[in-house]
Amino acid sequence: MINYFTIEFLKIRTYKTVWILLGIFILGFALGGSALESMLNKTITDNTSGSLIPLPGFSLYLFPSVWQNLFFIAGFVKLFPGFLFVMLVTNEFTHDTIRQNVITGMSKNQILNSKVVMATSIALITTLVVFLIALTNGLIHKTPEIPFGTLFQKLEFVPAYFLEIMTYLMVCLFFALTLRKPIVAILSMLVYSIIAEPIIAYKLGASMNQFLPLKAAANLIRIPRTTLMEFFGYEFQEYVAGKDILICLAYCLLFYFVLRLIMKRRDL
Amino acid sequence: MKETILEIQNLNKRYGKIHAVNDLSLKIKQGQIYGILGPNGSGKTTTLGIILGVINADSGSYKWFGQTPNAATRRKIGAILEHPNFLPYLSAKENLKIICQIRNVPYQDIDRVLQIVNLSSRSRSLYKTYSYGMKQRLAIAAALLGDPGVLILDEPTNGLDPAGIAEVRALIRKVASTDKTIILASHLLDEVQKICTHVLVIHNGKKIQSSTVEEIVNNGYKVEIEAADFINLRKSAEESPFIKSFSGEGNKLLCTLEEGKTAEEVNQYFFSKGIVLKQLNPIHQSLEQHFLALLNDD
Repeated sequence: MINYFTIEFLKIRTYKTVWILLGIFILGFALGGSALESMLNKTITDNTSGSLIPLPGFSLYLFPSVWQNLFFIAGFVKLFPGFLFVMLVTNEFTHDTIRQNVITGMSKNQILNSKVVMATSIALITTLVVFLIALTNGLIHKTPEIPFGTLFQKLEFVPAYFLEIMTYLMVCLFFALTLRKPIVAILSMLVYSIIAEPIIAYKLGASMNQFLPLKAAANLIRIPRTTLMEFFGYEFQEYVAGKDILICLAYCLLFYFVLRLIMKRRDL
Repeated sequence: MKETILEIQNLNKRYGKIHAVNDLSLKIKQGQIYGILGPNGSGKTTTLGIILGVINADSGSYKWFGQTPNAATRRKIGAILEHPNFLPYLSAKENLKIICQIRNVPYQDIDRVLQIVNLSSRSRSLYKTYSYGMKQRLAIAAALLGDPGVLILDEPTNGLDPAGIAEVRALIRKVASTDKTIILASHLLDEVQKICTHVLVIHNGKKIQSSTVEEIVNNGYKVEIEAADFINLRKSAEESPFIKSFSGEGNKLLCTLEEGKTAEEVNQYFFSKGIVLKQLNPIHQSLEQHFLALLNDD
């Protein structure tokens, strides 16, 4: 396990692009995530000036709802770690280093395991970044009326986000290991996640589409409660459903074992 | 009796209509420098890819060190397949650390192998800044990490300049003198003849011949002879028990001898028949001539 991590870490340790991308991600989410509340509220006041019913503003950063709010928003930027991961894996096909790693003494299963360890690491780092940004914003906006204990409520969204990213990265890994070419894998991933799965999800309907991998991942953290949406009688789910966790875990295992079979059969 | 390092039995691999490896069997013993010789596209790299675990064979089997092969047996083999494979955005040293990590070799060994291939001064440069010759040398360095008992080198002098070629060949000979087993795939006859002790000739995935290099060079040993009495010379040559075949040209005969026969015995034989040879030229066949003859036969 540690050996897999070391091998993968050596591959990126002095790879500047990775660290630049990570920096952009942290900075972008820190700025975007922190400025979102005022941006949303400004949009509302701009568009409802003169309206008879004053629309309520957002308050994203109050404990404990800050966890669901920011991890929900972070669900939209998972493309970023996904892109990084697909790039790193397909790079190794471009330069034939996966082949060389097998020749050097890794089994094909060990190659797959090392990529899963890499996905886990990326998911952990992404979760940690979002967690720290949510925590900081929560502490900045904390008023004396909010008891300190609320900080620890609804922390279930933290591991839920980790699972969401992990499921997403396993789908990415599937595209990367089967298609191998960077551009082909990244484009296919984009087409699948933005066009193909949403269309299938629409055709299947809500009762069935929860079983689609990316839909299941997105379902882990549902849209947070907002007064605005409550106006329209929207039903909110302010917890992580066990059923969604199970579907995601099942997909992670499924992709892992399908990839094992594919790796075993294909030449490198 | 030397230990068998590699045994291949009836290996087959097809790519659609192309039979890349066709019922190939071979045995390599410890300390041999085994050349796999064949023109481009003859199945050399496919064969090596199979025994290195990156290509699945359709049928047949192979054993390393008498064991069913797995990742652990590969760690005892240093190998280059086709071209050098490294991450371009890492330095040479960082790339070698990955290999060390996989093989469980301490990082200190990196300096030793870089010294051997003469890349110590450029160990911190990014791989993408290397010339092709340097990349090839780095690949050899990677294969030497952990001092494995077996080396597989696929076209190791490909893309090198003459000085680089000489350097790499000297390096291989140096490594070979330490009782290591080396498998060298090449389409260069000269290279195999200069370095190898044994040779397997393959064409279209099929084994055409396998023997020691010495046997090939001495096999079909030829002599050119000339005598004043050409008719008698011809007649005696025909009756001779050890002249396999001959062809005439002017007053000269070019005779192919049975294995083990020498020019001296030829001289003696004709003298006993009352023929005095005016000329007797032993002709050594090079591996190249032999190789071309084999390919033409096929």
